[in-house]
Amino acid sequence: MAVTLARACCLAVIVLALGCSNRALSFGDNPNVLWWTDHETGDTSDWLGKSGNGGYILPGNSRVQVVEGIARSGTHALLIADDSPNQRDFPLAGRNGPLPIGVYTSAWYYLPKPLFPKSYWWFVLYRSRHPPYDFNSFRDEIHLSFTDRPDGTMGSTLQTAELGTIQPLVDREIPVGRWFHVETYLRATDGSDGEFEAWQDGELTYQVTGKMMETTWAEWLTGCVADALTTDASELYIDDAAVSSERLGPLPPFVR
Amino acid sequence: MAPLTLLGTLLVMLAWSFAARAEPEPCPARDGSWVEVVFSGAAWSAAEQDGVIRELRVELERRSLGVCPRLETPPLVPPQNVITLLANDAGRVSIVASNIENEGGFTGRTIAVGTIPEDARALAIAQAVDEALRSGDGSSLKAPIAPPSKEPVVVPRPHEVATPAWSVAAALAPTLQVAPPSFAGATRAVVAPGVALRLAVSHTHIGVSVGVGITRVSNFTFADTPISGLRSPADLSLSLRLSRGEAQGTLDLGVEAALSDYESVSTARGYSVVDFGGRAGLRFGWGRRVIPWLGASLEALSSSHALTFVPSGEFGRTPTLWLGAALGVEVRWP
Repeated sequence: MAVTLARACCLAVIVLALGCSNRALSFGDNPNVLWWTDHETGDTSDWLGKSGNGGYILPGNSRVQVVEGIARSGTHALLIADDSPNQRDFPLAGRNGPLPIGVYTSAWYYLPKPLFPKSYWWFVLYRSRHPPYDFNSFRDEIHLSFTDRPDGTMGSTLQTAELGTIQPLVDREIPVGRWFHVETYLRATDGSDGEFEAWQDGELTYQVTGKMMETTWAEWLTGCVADALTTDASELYIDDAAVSSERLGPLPPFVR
Repeated sequence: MAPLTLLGTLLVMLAWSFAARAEPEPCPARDGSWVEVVFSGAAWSAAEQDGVIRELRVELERRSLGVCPRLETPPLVPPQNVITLLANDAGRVSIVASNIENEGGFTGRTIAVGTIPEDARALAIAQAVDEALRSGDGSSLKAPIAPPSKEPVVVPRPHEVATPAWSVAAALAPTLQVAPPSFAGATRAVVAPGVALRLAVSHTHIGVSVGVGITRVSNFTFADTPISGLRSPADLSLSLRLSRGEAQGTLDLGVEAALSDYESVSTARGYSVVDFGGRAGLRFGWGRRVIPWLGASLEALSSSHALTFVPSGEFGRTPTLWLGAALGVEVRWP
């Protein structure tokens, strides 16, 4: 027994010395991922900078902050807290434009409790800007919103400024108490060749073509734009967010 | 009257007896073996011929052989031997234990009789003939000389040709290695062209070989993520070679270490890894010294590496199975 163990140890040492292992080979940043964050920096610095044109945080009258505890990858996630249920509020995290004409955005979302907005809770928003491209020169073009169903479950709706409400291809339930993935594709043209698609947990739920934007300058925001809540303050967690030139799908938790 | 009858009978018997003694004996005898003697040449006299016949009959009688001179008519019983005595001068007699007229050559012996007294020459010649017959010169005439039987020509089979026990060989071949996509996790089969070199030392049918290869992994693609690199496998194998004529097959079984360089085309970041495994190869060739061959191989590696990007994680794995084909030439010595 001792001899066998000694032989096994020797073999293990030799194998390790020669580099025979199943180690992963990391080739750096995925070239198709234009920006991403897993919030493991512990703050919102990834949202504000990191790559591309940077981004911004709009806390409104509530909170947008990176917190530890609930997270899909690592230990941190972005908390969107609507602390003003009785008034319109817009705690958001956004990435600056102009985004590429064809761009994918994605994030994982977690609702610890059901949301009961009075009318809407936009959690995905595309905003266009027009000259002079200052902070007030924008139009909210496309938004995915949480809705409450008659049976008490949650669903989603899609509205665009140009096309109005878009019927879903699949009316998927928004889960509570587990992470779910929402990815969108926007072809941000100011003509009729625009396109928007949305996937929930990898399933195509919305698809619409036509004029999508006032201009081709597009920004992506996620979090909360809610008119009011019928309940007390509510929370939404976001993690593993990315902007990419290809569809990522519901990937495993992000790695560094 | 009776005395006259008795006397007449005696006279008749006596007359018959004389008549019987005067009749010459047949030659050859009706039964028994005999030797025919042919006198040839200008030096023979009738007396010398009679003397030789007489003395020879005395000599050969001891062996129950009759002796007769050449007969004008074919004998009823063919002679056992034919002796030709050739004398062109009085001093030498050649004894040819054959019929010179039919055999056409001298193969016997020649004796000098010039110094022998004339009254002893016949006996000397008879004794020489007897000796010639005893020595076998004549015995070869007992039966026709059979032509030498042809020895069967044994053509050694090729594989029986003696070959040196030890040999060394070097083989060089362009090679094409393929990793099936099902094993690599890639979207399509990975193709790696390159070159392979194998050195072998063998004793009769068993040997040891070392093979190295350098291949260029040109289309290592996972989804839309291209990976390029070099792959250099090296193996130490036990070789078993079987041959029939110039055709031969070689089976190589061994352990392998493969150095692989993987690099992302998009990020230009790469790694070098060493994987271990086993290799089996089969080659078929034709020749003895310079052997063109066609081979196939299978390499199984013990480890597979995850290929990852930040932050999206694993997008594929390195293959653990490689199939190879090669067409090359081996040079063997001796």
